[in-house]
Amino acid sequence: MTNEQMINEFGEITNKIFGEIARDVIGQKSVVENIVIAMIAGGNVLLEGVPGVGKTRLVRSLSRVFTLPFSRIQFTPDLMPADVTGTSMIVKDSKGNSVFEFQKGPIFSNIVLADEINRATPKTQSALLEAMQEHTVTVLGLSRKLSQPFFVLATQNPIEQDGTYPLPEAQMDRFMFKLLVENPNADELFEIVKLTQKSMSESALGVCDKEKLLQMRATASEIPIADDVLKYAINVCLATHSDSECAASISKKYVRVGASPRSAQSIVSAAKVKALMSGRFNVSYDDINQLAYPVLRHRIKMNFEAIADRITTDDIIRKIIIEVEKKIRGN
Amino acid sequence: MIDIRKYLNKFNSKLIAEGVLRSVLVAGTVAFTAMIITAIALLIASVNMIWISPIVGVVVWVLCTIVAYFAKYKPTMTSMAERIDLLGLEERVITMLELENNDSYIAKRQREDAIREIEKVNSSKIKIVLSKGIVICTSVLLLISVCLITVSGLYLNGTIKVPPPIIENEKNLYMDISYNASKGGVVIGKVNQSIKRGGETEQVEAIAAEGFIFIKWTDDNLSNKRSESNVIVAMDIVALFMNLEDGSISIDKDNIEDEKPENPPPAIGGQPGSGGQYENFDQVIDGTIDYKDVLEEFYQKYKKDIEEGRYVSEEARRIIELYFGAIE
Repeated sequence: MTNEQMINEFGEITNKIFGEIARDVIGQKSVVENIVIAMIAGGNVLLEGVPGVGKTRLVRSLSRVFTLPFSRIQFTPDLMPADVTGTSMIVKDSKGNSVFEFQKGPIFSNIVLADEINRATPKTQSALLEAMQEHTVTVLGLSRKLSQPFFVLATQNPIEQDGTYPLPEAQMDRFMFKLLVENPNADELFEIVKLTQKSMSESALGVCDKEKLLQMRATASEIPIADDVLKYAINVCLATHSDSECAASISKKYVRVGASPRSAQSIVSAAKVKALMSGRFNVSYDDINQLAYPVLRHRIKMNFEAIADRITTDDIIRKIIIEVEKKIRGN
Repeated sequence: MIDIRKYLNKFNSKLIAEGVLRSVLVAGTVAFTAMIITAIALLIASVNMIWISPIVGVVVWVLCTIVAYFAKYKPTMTSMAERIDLLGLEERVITMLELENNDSYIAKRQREDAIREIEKVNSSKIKIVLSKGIVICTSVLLLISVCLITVSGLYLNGTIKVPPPIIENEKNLYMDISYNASKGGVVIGKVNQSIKRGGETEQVEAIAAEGFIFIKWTDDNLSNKRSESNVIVAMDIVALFMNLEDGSISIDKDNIEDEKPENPPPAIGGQPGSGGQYENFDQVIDGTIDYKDVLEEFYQKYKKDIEEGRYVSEEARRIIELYFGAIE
């Protein structure tokens, strides 16, 4: 498929993807849309939600739709890095000599579900760092490339915090989005129960292969963004820093650490995909505003005062957007 | 290459009108401020040329409007694109402008998409937007400047007079006004009056005695009847009379008749001192001499002169005949 064909068919393909996922996952439209955006833009996603809201089902469905290999790692406190990356084992070769052979871990897949990632020790969590950013795995001094596309989808439970290890900032920053998976409403739950009574297995069909996904990523990156819109996106990110000259007033009061430069890259890459998915060939301010929440909410570290005042990161982002819009756009 | 500007032209006239209006309003604030400053300066300098103020205002207004329009409010292609995008075009127009010289396939598609959306938009959807703050500010300044110029003009013209300041603790002060007569006449009416500051006195009248004529008051007032208005200081005024004995002053008889009080002093020949109704005539003129005594003395002197055959001037003889009747 040529680039021009991909531009013309981009919206159609994404609609098919959403249609297929909707066969397995009821509701959660915003979460599904953002996961697909992250996959096309080449980012990882951290899903936060209580157990049983369909996180694993969603990932399995995604792997079917994109016809990509999928592996699941259940993170527990005794999980070791080698259990994730793989390790060199002594095996007999064809001549009967003992040799080291690398046994690939579950990370060597295209879609990796890191379930309850905050239950593993920081040492094991850090085994994902290199893979998530550089898409390589280094074991015993030898780096191995992960096959493309590579996508980590981690989950964590926001309620049970006993025996967990909160993800360090460096790891958090490697997730393009943090998505909040809400409980389904009554209608959605009705549909879910009805659907799963027939069969628990996923029924989504593959509509996009590996090559198509990579082509979609390349096409989306070409979408133009006006300088004013780019400046706006940068200002939104910088406004999260309490010590920046662009700092929003709420950041000065409640933010300890603001979003990294990676957040600006993520927001723009994702906005381009979102624009193309909407049938537009340019990024709009609204794209930036909508994506600011999933991109920034896990990158902002609040101070004690914010926690005491029960301020959430989404509250801070909302006020930042209002302030930056007024400052940059004058409305 | 497509000329994308032609697609924006339909929004041009409204945005130009908006730019002009904004410039007029902003320039108005400067102009009205200039008018106020000029009016105050003229008022302080007491220069009765208040017409300078509106002229300054108009000149500043015109100049500032031109400067503001070309420096800030003239719509540019970018500002026009931003305004059109606000109509729900999702930054299509501003991106199209940036990609104007880009020939890539995606730029072409973007352009086509943007033009399609622009064509759907009715130019009437663009509303002229003016800042409430600047409208209120300009209106208030206009009102202040008009009022100030009007009042200043009337004041400098003399139409409005500023009353002397009344010191609070002097508001209830009473001023003593005293009217006295010198030798040769009396003052009738209330000669000692206590008047509230700024008030008016009752009228008094200076009446000359026989052989005298009223000349003036010590404050050079020539009218024998007088009253004071807007009294702000205490006064002690004396009526001056001229003795007619030396004959150097002619006496207008009619005037005397006219100035005669309703109840003239009794003529000698009647019963001097019996005129009880002429209370004022009995008063002490200079503190030592009683008017009754003066008349008596005058009467006795001329009676003696005539009896002893001394010379009596024609003038004196006439007055004697007139006031005292035939002596011989």
